[in-house]
Amino acid sequence: MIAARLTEGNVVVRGAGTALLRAKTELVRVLGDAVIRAQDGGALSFSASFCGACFDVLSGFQVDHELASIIEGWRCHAAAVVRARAILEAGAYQPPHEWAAKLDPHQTLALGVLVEPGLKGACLFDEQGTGKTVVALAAFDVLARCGDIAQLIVLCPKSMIASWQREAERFLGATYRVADVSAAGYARRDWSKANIIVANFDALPRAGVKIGGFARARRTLLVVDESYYVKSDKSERTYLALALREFCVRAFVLCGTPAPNAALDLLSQFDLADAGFTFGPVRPVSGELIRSRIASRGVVVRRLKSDVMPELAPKVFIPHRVVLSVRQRWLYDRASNGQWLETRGVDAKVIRWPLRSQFQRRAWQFKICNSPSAIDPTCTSNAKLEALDRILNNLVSQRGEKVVVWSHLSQPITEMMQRYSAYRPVCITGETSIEGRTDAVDRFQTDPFVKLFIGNPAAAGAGITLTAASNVLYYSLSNRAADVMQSLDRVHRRGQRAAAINVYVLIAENTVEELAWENVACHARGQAEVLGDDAPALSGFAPTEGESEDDAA
Amino acid sequence: MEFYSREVIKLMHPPFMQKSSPEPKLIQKKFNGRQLQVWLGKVPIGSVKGWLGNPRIDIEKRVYAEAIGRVELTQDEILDLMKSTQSIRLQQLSVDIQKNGLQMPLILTYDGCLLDGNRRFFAIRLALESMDAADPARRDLETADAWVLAEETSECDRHHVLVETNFAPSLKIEWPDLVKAEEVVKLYRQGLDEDQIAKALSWTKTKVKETIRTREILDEFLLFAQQATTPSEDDLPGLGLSEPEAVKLASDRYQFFNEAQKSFFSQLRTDYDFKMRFFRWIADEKFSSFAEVRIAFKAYQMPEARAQIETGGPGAGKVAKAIVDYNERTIRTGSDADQRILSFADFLKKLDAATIKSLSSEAVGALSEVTALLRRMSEAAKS
Repeated sequence: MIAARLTEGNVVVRGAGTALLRAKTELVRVLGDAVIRAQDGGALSFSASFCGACFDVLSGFQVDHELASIIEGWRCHAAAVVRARAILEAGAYQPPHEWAAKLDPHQTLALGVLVEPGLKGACLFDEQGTGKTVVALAAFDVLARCGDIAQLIVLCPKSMIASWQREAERFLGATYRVADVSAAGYARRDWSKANIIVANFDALPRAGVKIGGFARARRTLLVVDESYYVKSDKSERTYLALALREFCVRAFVLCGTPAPNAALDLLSQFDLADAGFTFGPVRPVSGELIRSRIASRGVVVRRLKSDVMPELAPKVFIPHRVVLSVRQRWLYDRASNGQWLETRGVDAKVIRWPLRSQFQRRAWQFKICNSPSAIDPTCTSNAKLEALDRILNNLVSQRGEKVVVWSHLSQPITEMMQRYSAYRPVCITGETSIEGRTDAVDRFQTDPFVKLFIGNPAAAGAGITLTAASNVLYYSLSNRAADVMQSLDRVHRRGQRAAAINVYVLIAENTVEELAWENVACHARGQAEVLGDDAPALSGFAPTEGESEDDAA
Repeated sequence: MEFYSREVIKLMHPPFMQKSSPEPKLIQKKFNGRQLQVWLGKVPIGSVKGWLGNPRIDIEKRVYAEAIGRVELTQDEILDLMKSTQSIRLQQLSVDIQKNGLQMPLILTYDGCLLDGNRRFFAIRLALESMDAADPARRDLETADAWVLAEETSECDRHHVLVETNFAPSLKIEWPDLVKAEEVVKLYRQGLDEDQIAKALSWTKTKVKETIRTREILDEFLLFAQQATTPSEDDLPGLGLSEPEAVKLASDRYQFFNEAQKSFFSQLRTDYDFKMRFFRWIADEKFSSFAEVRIAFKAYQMPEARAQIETGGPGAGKVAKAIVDYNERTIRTGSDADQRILSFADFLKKLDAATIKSLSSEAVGALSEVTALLRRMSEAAKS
């Protein structure tokens, strides 16, 4: 008979003969190299945090009381997974009456999955803009009322702290006390009496121990919003989030773009959701293996806006191919072919920019396309800004519509803020404070005279609502596909009532930008394949097609 | 009674070394990159303490110890054991030393324990045992050249000597693979990582990694081999061997396990049924070459090849390999043909009108022939 017991955070397995061989083989199949030979010889050992992945193997062993209760917890989770899937399959769930009126049918269904008794965690991967935040808050409320959960810890990007606070106050009223923990101000806040703690990812290195202490003290629900921030299992941020997860009894990860690069992005997010139940310590290498593992063990709720919000107008991509000015093209060709790029400063001194690596060259090419004066102060012509002038003149001045403009470079954002001051623009970049972000969004949403929102998708791409506009314009694009996919849906989301959402994309013709946009579209297709979506986020977008500004002129 | 200062004592040669002809000299000697102080001189063979714990004959020692029911063996018993172990080739070395003298000095610790030269030491003892007491050549063998480590040599330095003399490539007969693997795993369990072990043993990291993996398979094989032949409720039958017998068998088949580690380590770790079968195949000598071992997992997956190994006698792996090779070749040929037909069809589709017009009559004739052939093939396929 094989026996297993819990010793100092490890499961130690004992036995002899071929029975031990069988036990080892089954454990290695699930846990891989995490199964090690115990120090005292003969027996096997592995970390108790991997029990979720191998609870069914452990069920066949003779176990001590402590381990038996852990295994029982995972058995309950496995049963809850089956019931949660049945809810999704049936497409119906009767929520508590206080939430029935507040939620849409697709949100009600997701709530049914999240509050399933015994479930340790789930992934809510509904497309961005479908209302995941309110579902998570509702799940917390339902679980708190039945005594299963005592407090909620939310991990999210800095830009979303304010919206979590606002949504909690809006949907939960004064029932719960909310406290925020930003990286800079965690020490000043008193959050000892709070039921809901909202912390940004960057606060974890400083405040992680304190947050962990709170999580350990009471039955805690962890919600990780925009979980693609913790997709890399080698980052400190992910490590700290996983450490916090160990103290929480239940966890939900929320994200509309969970796999912006590859199927591998999903692994850490599932680890956070179900503490290793789906994947354990073994990292499958192929997308097919990952999908089959999720299909057999994971709980994922993924719906597209086209399925759950048919009234929402579809996005229409309007690529504008811009021909670079003569000076820009000259600079661009020099940057593409030479080892150096020579320009003159305002004092007529020669500046030599080195272009030794592919990365340097690529960065310079982007700058020349979008902000040539940042490299060559004597270059006063910027074809993209001139194209933007024409589009904004048409949309804002003539039609009086609001526009959201995205640029991943800071120099063009500064230029645009000055150039279009008549449109009373608001702006969010990485330097904008939490209060400043809330103010910018509020002004854009409510002030009819504020016609322009200018933002960096890396800083403002997630967690804000800009439905006052129905026009989105990409001046330049980020290298990170997730930022593009997320920022697209700040306008295209719940609350948007326009008959059409127009997405203008400015692409410098015959430059690296065409390739970069193709790359983003490719990532979007990849994610759709991984998640089994009917249509990718950039469906209908072809960067090499579209009207050329030359032709238009 | 003489009194010496601490510094003087440090400079005194070990008491068991011969004081004259020649007088012991303190010299610097390099072992595994480490400069050590050693006494160079002659030592009486009778004063040398042979290394009873030498792992070279560990497997034989275990078998012998079990037979006599005692764990600790004497020097004489070790000599008897080495004499009877063919792979040690003690007799040949003894004859060689009588003819040519001792080529390499013995290496001893300061208290006279042998660190390196165990075979040479016992070969000299064998020679002395076989020589007549009055033989004049006997005197030459009663003392031997030796390097004796200085008194202050640390345990770590002694380890460097061991590594240099047993792990560095040389013309000496090295320790059996299984014994080396045990030493590697010992270091691994002490907490050294693969890089550190590789450095300590002057091996490549890959070799260390492979050795650790092979040792893991061997550990499992030992469990299997010692399992009773009549299964209990949970267990499958094993080979019913005693521990020394199992170790001997594992040692003999070490290189086959190494080959398995290289070819299908992951499958062997995670597929219990395959593991049990493979261990039995190894024990039953179904394989006679590395190439046959290499295809074991593929053979396991092919019912026909697997049946051959299961039902055939020793050497059945050869037939199984032929089946696996044949099947693989057939599949490859099939897919090759598919590929060529598809690319030819693609080529035909892409021909433009001008090219078709300019085709030679020979090419057109060949195409008509192919068309007729295709028609026949398609009819045959339908039927």
